[in-house]
Amino acid sequence: MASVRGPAPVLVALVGVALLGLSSHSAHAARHAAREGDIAPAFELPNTMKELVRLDDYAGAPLVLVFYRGFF
Amino acid sequence: MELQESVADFEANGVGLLAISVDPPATAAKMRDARDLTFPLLSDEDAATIKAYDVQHPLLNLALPAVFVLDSEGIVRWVQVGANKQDRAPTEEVLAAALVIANAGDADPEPRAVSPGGKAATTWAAVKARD
Repeated sequence: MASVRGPAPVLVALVGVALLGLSSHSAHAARHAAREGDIAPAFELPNTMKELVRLDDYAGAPLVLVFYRGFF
Repeated sequence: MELQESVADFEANGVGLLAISVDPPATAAKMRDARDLTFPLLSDEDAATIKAYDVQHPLLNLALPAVFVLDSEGIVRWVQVGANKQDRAPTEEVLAAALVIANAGDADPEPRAVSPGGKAATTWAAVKARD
């Protein structure tokens, strides 16, 4: 029994570490749907004055688009 | 450094700046006032745009901290997505990326010598001098 129980926790730990590494890696990669080289998805959203702003309004010049978590 | 502190740099280089969150306009207005923001804050209450850019929080109806720099054709040229609030791209990096993209857009398709002390070099020096 000892020979079986010995390596098992080590294996579990190794698999666990591997899974952790994999999941954080794939989660990171999956978050890059709008990738470099893609056409930026169009949008039409209200500003603080409730006026609609479209991505197209900013065509013709570079644009920095920032996503915020929100105001807390 | 907060993005707001670089607004003049973005403007001077013809780079637009827009922010998006799930906050309704009234809440976004509070954030604008609390932080003295001068760039537009857009409300994506149903997170449709956030999802289109695939920057939604895995559990909550929120955006992850993310920055996309688009060129003048609307092509994504630079992306940084953070896992949490603390994991946001430094504004210096965003500005540097935007300046490269802005100046690439200005480039003449015909090969030509780059004159020293031009707009880009000056701006780069100004950016580097801040560090």
